[in-house]
Amino acid sequence: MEVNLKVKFCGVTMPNPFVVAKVPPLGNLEVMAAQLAAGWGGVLLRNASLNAEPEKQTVSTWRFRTPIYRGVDYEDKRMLDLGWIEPDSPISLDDSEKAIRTLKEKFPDRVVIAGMVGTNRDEWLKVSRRLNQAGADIIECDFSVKTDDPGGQKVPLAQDFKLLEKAARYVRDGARNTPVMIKLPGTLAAKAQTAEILKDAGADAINLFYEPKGIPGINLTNFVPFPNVGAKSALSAMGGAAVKPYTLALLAEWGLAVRGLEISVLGGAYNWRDCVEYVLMGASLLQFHGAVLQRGEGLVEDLKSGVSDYLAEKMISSVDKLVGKSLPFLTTEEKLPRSGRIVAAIDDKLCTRCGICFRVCNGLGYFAINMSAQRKPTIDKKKCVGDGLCVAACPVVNCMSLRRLAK
Amino acid sequence: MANMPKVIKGFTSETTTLSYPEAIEEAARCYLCHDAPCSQVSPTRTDIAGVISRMRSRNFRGALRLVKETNFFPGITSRVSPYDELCEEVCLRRKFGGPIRIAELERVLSDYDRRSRHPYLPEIPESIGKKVAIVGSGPTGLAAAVELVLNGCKVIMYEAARVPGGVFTKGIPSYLISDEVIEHEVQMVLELGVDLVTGINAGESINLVSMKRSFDALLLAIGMGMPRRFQIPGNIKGDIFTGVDILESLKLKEKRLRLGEKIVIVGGGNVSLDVATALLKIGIEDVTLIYRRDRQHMHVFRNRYELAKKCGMKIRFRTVLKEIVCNDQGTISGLIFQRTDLKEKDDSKVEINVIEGSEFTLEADTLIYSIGQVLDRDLVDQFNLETTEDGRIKVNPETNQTSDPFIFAAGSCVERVNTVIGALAKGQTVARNIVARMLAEK
Repeated sequence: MEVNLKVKFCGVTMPNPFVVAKVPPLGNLEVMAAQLAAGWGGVLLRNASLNAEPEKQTVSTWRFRTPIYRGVDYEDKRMLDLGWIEPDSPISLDDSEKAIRTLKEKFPDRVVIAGMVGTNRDEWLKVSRRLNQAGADIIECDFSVKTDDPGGQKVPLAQDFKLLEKAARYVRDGARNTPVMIKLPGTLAAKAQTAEILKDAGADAINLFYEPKGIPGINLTNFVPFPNVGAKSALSAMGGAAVKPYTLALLAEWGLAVRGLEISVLGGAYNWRDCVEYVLMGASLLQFHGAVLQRGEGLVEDLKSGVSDYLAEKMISSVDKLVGKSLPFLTTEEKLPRSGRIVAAIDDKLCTRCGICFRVCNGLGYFAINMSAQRKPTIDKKKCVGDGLCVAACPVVNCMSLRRLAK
Repeated sequence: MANMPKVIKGFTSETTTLSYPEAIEEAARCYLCHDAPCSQVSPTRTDIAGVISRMRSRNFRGALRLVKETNFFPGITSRVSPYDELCEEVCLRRKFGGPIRIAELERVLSDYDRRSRHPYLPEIPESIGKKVAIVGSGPTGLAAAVELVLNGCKVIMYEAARVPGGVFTKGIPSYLISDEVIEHEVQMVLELGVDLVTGINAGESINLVSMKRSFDALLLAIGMGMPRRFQIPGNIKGDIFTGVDILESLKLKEKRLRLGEKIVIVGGGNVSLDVATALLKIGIEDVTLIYRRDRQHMHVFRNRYELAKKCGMKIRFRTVLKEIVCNDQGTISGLIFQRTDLKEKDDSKVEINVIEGSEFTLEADTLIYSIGQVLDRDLVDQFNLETTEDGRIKVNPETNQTSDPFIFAAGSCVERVNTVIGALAKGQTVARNIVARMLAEK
C-alpha cells in the first residue's frame, strides 16, 4: 500500500511531520542544513529577540552560553533521560533572518519554523513582522518564558490571560499571512480557557512541551549534584526519553480540552512508536530535541521507515487519519468497566520459568499463581484479579497477557 | 633422551575478564529469578542472584561481601571450577541469549577485591575458646579454617609443602589462573588469624597424645596425596612421569623438566587433560592422550576437554598400554598399545576386554600417566584410622568423625570430590560439624 508521510500543518505542506527543534543549541547553520539534507521535514530556529546581540560564532563565547548536559543512567542503560542547564539566551533577529533565508533558499520544500520571544507590544509586532518578511513558514512565539510583571514578579506569560490575549493578537498582526504557533508549558492549568483565548486571538496552533525541572543525579563522592561546573550546580530541564509518558498524558489533557487549534509536541519522542503514540493522542507535528542530540540527524530515516511501515500494515494512507484516535478511549478511574472477568495467561513456549510473576503476585497478596516443582507457573483463574502486574514484570516480551473470560 | 632436551621455565597467562561496564551490562541481563536456580545448585549456597542484583547497581563491595560470606575463594573457583556445568547450566536466561556469565562476574569481583586498598575481611566474632588443628591446606582445609574462625575458634594449619594451598598451588595449571590470584586469596585466610605451619610432615612431627592435650579437635584434609602407580611391563628406567609431577613442576617452577617431543599421556581424567593442554601451550606439538574407554565415560569438565582439543591434543579411545620399548640406556623409543572392546554391564559400569592381536606401536619418547590418586597412608596408619574399600578414610557421614572421635576428616581423602568449589563446600560442612560437636561437649 502506498503510504505518504506528507502532512499539512497550519496550511503549510511538509514532506513529513518530523521537525528538529533547536539543535544545535547555538544555531550553527551548517548543522541545520545537514539535518534538512538528511530528510527532516523542517527545523525550528532558536527564539529571536530584539534585545539579543548577534551571535559571535567562536568557542570562547560558546563556552559561556552552551547548555551543560547530564544523562540519567539506570543499571547498564546510559542516558535513560537527559537533563540540561541552559542559559536563557535568545538569538538576534539578524541571525534569525539570515538563517531563514539561507535554509529556505537551499531547501524550499522544507519548513523553517522561526522561534521568537517578546515582552511588549513593540517587540511582538516588530519581531513577527520581520520574521514574516524573511520568509519563515511558521512563526512560533514562546509564551512559556518568564516575563516581567509590573509587580516585579516573574511569571510565565501564558498564565496572565489578559497579557496572553494581547500578545497573541500583536504577534498575529505582525505575522500577517504566516501561520502562528504558540509555545506553552504543557502543565498549564486552565487548558480549555487558554486555548479559547489563543484561538480568538488568531493563533493557528499550539506547541506543547514537558520539561520539568530535575536533577539527573548527584556525585556520590563529593555530593555535588549533576550537571555541575566546578562545585556548583542548578536545576536542569529534563527532556530525554523518560518524559515520554508525561508528555503523552499532557497531550491527552490538551487534546480533550482544545478545539480548533492544531497541536505540535516537543520532547520525549525517541523512535517511531513514540511518534505514532503522540499522533494518536492528538499531535500533528512532532519536534525532536534530545533524540537528535543523542542519535544524530540520521534518526529521521528510522522514524520515516517505522511510521510508514506501521501505516502500511494498518492500511492507513496518511498520518492525518491517526490524529487523536486514542483520545476517545480515555475516561476516569471510576468509570472503568470493571465488571468483566479478566485473568492473566502465560505462553508456555516462551516462559523461562523465572518465577517473577509468582513473586509479584504473592507480593500483592493475591496468591493467584502457583509454581510447580519444575518451576512451571500456572494461573489460578479463581484467584486471579486481572491487575496485570505479572504481565508488566515478566521479563519476556509477549510471554504473558491479559484475557477477558467469557461469561 | 635422544633429541634435544627442552627446558621448561613455567608460564603464566592471566585469564581474560570483563571490564566494569561490561560486567554491569552482563549483570543487567539477569532476570533476578524468584528462588533463583543458580543459587540452589551452588555447592556453597552462594546467593548468586543477590550478588548480580548488587552488581547491577554498582555496589561491587556489597556483591563481593555476599560472595565471600559463603565462598572465600571466588577468584580461584570462578576460574577453575566448571561453572558452566553448575550455576550457568541452570541459568534460565539460557533460553534467550545464553546464560549469564556468572564465572566472569565473580572474576570481576575477585579482581576488584585484589586491587582494592582494603580487601574484604569479615568481622571475627568473640572467641568460643576452642582450638582446632587442620592437617592440609588445600581447598577443604582452607574453607574449614575460614568457617571455624568465623565461628570463633582458633585454628592452626599444618602443611607439608613449602607454600599453602594444596591443589591451588600445585595442581591448577597457570593458563587457568595466575599465581597472584591464588596468593591473594590464600593470604586472606591467613589475615583472618589462621596460624600456618608449612614444610612440616604431619606423620613424623605430630604426636596424637600431645595433640589431644592442646587441641579440641583435629581435622584431616589431606586429600589424595600420592599419584596411583601402575605396573608397566618393560624397562622402567625411561622418561616416565605422573601427571601430577608435571603440573607441580610447571606450577612451582622449581624443578626443571626435561621432556621429549612426542608425548603420550595415559589416563582420561581432568589432570590428563590439564597436562596435555599445558604441554601444548608451552610449545610441544605432539601430545597424544590414551584412554581405555569412550568419551562419554570420561568424567571430565566439558570446557577443559574442549580446550585441550582446541590446543591440538590427539586422543585415542579404547586403547590400553601394553609394553614400553626402550633401548639399553632406558630411553623410550616407542610404546605398544592394544585396542579394547567395551561391554555395557547392568550396573552402568563398563567391562573392558582387551582385543588379542590388536597391538600397534606409537612412536614416543616420553610417557606420562595419570590414572588417579591414592591416599598418603602415613598419617592414617599412625593414627590407626579405619579406611574404606576404595582406599579412603572412613568417616561417619553425619558428623565427619573418623573411627577416632577426636579426629575429623573431609575432602577428597574421604569421598570423591570433583570440583574445587565442591571441596570448599565440604570444608564448610565439616567445620560446622566440628563446632557443633565442640559446643555439645561443653
